[in-house]
Amino acid sequence: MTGGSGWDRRRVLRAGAAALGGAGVGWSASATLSHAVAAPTAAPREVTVITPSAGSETVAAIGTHQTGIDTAPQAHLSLIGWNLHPGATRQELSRMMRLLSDDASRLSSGEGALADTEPELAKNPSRLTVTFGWGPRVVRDLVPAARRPRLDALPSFSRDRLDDAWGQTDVVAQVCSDDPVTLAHARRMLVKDASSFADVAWMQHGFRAARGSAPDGTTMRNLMGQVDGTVNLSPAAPADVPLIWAAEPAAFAGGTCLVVRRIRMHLDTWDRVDRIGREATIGRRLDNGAPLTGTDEFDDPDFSAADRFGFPIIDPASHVARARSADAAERFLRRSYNYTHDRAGGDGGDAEDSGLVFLAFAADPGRQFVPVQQRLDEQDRLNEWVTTIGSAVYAVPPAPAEGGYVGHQLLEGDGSRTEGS
Amino acid sequence: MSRERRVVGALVVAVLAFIALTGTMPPASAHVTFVGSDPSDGARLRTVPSRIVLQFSEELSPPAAVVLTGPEGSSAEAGKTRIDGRRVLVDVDLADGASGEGTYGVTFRVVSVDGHPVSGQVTFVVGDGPLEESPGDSGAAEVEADTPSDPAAADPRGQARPAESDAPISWGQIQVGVPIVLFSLAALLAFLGRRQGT
Repeated sequence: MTGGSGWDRRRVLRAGAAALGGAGVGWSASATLSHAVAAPTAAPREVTVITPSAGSETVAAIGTHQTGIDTAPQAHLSLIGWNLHPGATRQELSRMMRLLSDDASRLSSGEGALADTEPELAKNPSRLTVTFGWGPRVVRDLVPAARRPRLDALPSFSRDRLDDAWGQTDVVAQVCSDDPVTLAHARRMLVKDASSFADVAWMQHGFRAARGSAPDGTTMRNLMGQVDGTVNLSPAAPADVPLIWAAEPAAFAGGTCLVVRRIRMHLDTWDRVDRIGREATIGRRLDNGAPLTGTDEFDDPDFSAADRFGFPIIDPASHVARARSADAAERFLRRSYNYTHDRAGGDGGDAEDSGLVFLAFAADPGRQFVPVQQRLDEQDRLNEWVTTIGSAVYAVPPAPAEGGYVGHQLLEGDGSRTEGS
Repeated sequence: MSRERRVVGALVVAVLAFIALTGTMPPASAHVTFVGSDPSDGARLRTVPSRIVLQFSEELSPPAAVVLTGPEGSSAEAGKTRIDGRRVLVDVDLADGASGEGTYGVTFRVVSVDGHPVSGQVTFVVGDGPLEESPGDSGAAEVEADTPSDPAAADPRGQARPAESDAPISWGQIQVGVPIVLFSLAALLAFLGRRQGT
């Protein structure tokens, strides 16, 4: 290519240099930007507008069940685990429950507790609920035999690495609210009022998406990024009712049992698992939580669908396959929360731990939960990246009668039935 | 617009279009691959092996799934299967006195300790007969390239998804390498341009 129409070698070379240099800049900028731009989340179909009235929302205490079980999960959780002072009697437990139930009832309706030093902090209940439970030792030693519900301690599972710091306690309160300020205040009132009867053994804090960041009812995501809780009992479904609410003994009718498992995630090694590996480990897609054999989150997994090599598309060792049971009774109402826990100054690993405060309600945990956990303990691809570090189970009494406190039917009877005590 | 500017413009547009088309980049990932087997794919043996070894590039996590298919009427079965680091060892049980001649298929799916699954199939023939198509697939050692869900797509099933790369070059390398190549070429051309006299 020589002169003539204004083109000479030098101009071609300069033009090429400019074009390639410009393209190089463009490419670098695009590569940088595509890393910086977060993966867009699915747009909510409707926008939830947070008005001042969201703070005034309360959860009504009606019916035979304590609130906070079939309540749509609020954004924040504090689980408080107490051990009664040594030698505590049934009377002392009932005095403690009377005080705490009164606090819970007032705070949940937006009033300060009795002798509340910051009553203004109770003004936005934001769907505050407080749910009380008792551990096996309390049930065995302090509840009269005729009214005593069945509550077995959870067995040990071979892969658990239980830390006493998160172990079984005598009493638990599950305190939930959409507002963390309300929650902190409620927590402090309960702890203050329980202090003459019991010592705090642990507090487990957890969180879900803030109210309004996704449409109400959206299944939560855990800190591994997975849609978590798709398959769940529904208190509105008649077939599920006997799996959630206990029916006997009569004093316990309308109560339930709560399983608490603190599950630590190993996100440092999980970081090495690519997207395919993550989906194969669980058996569900990451983008919308659909099973690998389906398209929508609530599609039933097809465990017999095979790939072209004849292997099941959903790995039989995957979490979803191992958790599923042919026995429809092996199900429970999950109501878990994410947790992070500072580890600054720790062994040089991550600055904070991440995990799940796994909460499950079931009328009979031994029948409904334990076999599932046994199966997962034996084999679950997810086990490589999670370890259970805390485990506890509680009997959750029914709602108190008018003027009563949580658990009074069990400790004192309701007086209208002929029961021994 | 001068012809020189049009050329520059066209080149830049072409490169930017390429960037736009390949804009959704899957994360660069080094994942487990099937390295080989003994017997190797397509091998011809005199007798049925007592053990099959599948070799992978990374440590594996149990369980491993291996299916052994044999010729019609074959009495060879997959026996004990276990993982040994980066290998899967499969004992082959053959009934006493059986010749076991014919084509065999070994179909596997394993998962690495980093959670990544890989599936494939290897065939071999015992005796002098032909190496036949094994049931379910052609004879070459095939490795399944799974496609993950697309994080950016609203309806990934309706879109073409990027194939999980079994390619030797990762996207991360391409993202860095392309601008380097472009800048190098630009510098070279600019240098040459300066040296050329009018």
